[in-house]
Amino acid sequence: MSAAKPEPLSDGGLGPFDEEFLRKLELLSVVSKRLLSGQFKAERRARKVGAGVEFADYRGYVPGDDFRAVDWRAYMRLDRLILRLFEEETDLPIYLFVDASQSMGTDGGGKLDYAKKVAAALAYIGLSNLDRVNLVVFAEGIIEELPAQRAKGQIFSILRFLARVQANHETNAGEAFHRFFTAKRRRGITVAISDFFDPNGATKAFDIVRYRRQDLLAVHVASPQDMLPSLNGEVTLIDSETRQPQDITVTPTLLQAYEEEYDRYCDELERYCTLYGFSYVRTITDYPFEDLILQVMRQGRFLS
Amino acid sequence: MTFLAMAQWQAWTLLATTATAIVVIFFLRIQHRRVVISSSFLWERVLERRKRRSWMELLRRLISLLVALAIGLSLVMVFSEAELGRAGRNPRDIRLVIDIRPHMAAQMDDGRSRLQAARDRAAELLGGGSEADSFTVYDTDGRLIAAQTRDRRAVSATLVGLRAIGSRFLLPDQEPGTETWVVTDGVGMPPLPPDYRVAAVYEPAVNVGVTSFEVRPWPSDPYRSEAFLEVGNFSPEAQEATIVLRDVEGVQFRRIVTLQPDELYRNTFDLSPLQGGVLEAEVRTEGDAFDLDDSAYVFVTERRPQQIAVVSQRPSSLSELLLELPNLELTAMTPVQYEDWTTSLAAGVVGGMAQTDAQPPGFDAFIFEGYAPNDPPPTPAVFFAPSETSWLPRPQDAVHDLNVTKIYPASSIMQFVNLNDVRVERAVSVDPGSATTLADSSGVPLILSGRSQIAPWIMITFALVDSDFDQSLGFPIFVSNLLRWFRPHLSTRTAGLGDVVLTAMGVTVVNVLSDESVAVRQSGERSYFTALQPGLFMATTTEGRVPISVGAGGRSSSSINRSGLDAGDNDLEVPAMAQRLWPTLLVLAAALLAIEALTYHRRITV
Repeated sequence: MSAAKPEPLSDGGLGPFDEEFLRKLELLSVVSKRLLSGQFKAERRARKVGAGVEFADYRGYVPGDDFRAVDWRAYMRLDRLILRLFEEETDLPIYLFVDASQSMGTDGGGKLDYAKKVAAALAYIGLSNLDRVNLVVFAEGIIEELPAQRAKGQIFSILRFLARVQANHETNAGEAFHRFFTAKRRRGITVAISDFFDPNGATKAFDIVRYRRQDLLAVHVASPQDMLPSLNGEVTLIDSETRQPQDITVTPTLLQAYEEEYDRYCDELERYCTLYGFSYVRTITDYPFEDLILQVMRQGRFLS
Repeated sequence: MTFLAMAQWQAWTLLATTATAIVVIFFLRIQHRRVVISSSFLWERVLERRKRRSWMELLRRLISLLVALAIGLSLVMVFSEAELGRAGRNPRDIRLVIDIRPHMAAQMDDGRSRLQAARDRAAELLGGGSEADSFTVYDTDGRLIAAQTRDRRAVSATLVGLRAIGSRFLLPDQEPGTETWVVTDGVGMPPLPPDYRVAAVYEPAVNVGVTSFEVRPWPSDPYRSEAFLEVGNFSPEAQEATIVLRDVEGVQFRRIVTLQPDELYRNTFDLSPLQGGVLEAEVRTEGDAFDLDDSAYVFVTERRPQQIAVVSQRPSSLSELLLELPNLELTAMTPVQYEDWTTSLAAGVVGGMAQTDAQPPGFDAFIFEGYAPNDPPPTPAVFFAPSETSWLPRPQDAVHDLNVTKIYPASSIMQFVNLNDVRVERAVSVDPGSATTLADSSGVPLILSGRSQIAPWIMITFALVDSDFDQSLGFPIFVSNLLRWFRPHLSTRTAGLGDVVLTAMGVTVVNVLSDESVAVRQSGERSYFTALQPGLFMATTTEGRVPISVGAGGRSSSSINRSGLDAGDNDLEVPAMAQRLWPTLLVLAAALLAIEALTYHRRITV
């Protein structure tokens, strides 16, 4: 199956998704094809055991089982009914969570744009692999949700959806994830794209993903100002979300302490993800998003 | 000044200064550059971590805590009025007892009186100790001068009014937890309770004074009298004293005597040559420190038979009784003769009648029987069943067969008079009006007293012939009371300095020496006036006049050196005044608040 080439964009409703971006998407799609292991529709091997073609395991027969799955050769040898189990191959639900809180809009909205691009790229790759792509914009709750898209041609719907997203509200990822997963969702992969400046703790949201037995890819988007603020002297820091002022005297020592604190925070997130078998990718808005996508794909989890 | 007792301008000034300081401090803040960041929670974690880990931050927190504690402690100490040197001590309840006996008026070498020195000594005690100490002031006369208070200024003000006119040495009862100081010269001071302390104001001084001066009749001749004078030297050394006796006509006696310490000079003087009136004894000594006993006064009454006129149509049993009494010259006259006498009196021609300066000319008293003149007589008068006149209670109806049912013994006329067995066949009922009823029969006045514009009078509403009053046991006593009532000032009262009590109402008092009225206070049925200096006073009551000789108090007061103290005892170690800290602490608290506010805004402290 060949990937559909994105149509040129003629309208201005796609925001940061210009021709250059679309070309990169196509390139990512081609690269992703090489990394994929199958050519089937819905090629993700789900853990579900059912009516697939690839042998998975044996188990004893119990009344009610399908006789078609009985391994008669084994019966002949062992004189007892053994059932052959096959992995059922299904499409993979991908839940893309894009943080649209006010903090993502600082520094000219670079983080939000970057997050949109990453989300669009992953969505495109997902659609190329015939997966179901759900897009959720969250802040202090779910701001907007795009229902599951499956066909590759839906990429423009996703792009338009993402283009409308504006940074606003405070961050409460836990609340948003809780609301989303309160509804019955198939097990799949959850991608959280955020700066993770969540006063309530980003790991609370990760906990919900974990409790729902979803896989998680945390894409931590940071701006240079987040990592290394250019501050000095007497400063009143205004929290972009809460608007709370904080008077501080910024010294090099204090600045270094902040950097260390930021790294410590990122390490906490990464350790959490590692502990529970999740993926964590940290990036900066200066970093080319396509390289990030490739890095993500090389990790194997997203595209495996 | 005590805290929270600031004047209004001080309070406003403090308020304005504080407000100005706060505004200045507020605008001294550094203006911060405002930077919008994605999120501040990491910064908060950084700051919190630095606060916890930084030694400097710990030091800042410690300093801030200490500053806050210092502010709080300062304010607590301000409101508890803490004082330096008072730590661990409870406020004292101090009682000051100021000796105000007359010898406290003795002068000291520095020109102050002992009382003034006592006031100064009390002021020293008031100036020491703690601001929280309370003071109560008594005098040795047992009066509370200042109730318990911490307002030392008010206590000091009460001390100014103290006068050396006390006559007793009374101390307040011992009370646990109190500190009692007796400020005294120690003269005649009884042993004090063991925990009472003495603040001495004693200095040896020269004093020669009159300790006794009185007039007494000769035993052999009741119409003659003599003056007894006693002068004592109470100085530590022999003194030469000049003794002078003078009356209204000048010096009658003068003698210079040398008296050894504690020697008394006594002498009597025949007063027969004197006309009567005020007689002064004076003693002068070089360097005498105690003036109050340098003069004494007596009132010399002319010693002569009492002149009484009985005005009636015919002699009565009363006249017969009076004729038999000694020291009495009785003149009987009819109403017509009385009218002639009053006419002659008005013309100024009174022959053969006794006259003194202290009495109206003529008779000492009149007794009218069945008659009353149109004008009140010039001397005390007694009326038996008087005829109707305008200035006496007007007679109304005749009443018969009366018994005396009630006597009012408060009047000197009725003292010791028993009228229970008296029967009155006929009397005249009167409306007493402003007169005082002395005896009545079931509401019908029988004996009344009053006062005309000139002299007092007694009115009996029945005639002696219409009763058996003159046959009763009480009649001689009644007559005796009448005669004493006619000339009450025959006996001169003596009194000490201070409050002089008179057992009568409506009393007027005149200082005979200065001829000035003296303020009289009423309390119950008694009258009081205050004598600050020795002198002679004339008290006039409804029953007559009473001369009162006020003296310093005799030997007990004149013995100004009879003290168990000596000059060395005057050195009093008064506890130093604890330094009041509240103004300093208030300033400190304000300064710390300013520092804290300033450093907070500069983020020097937490």
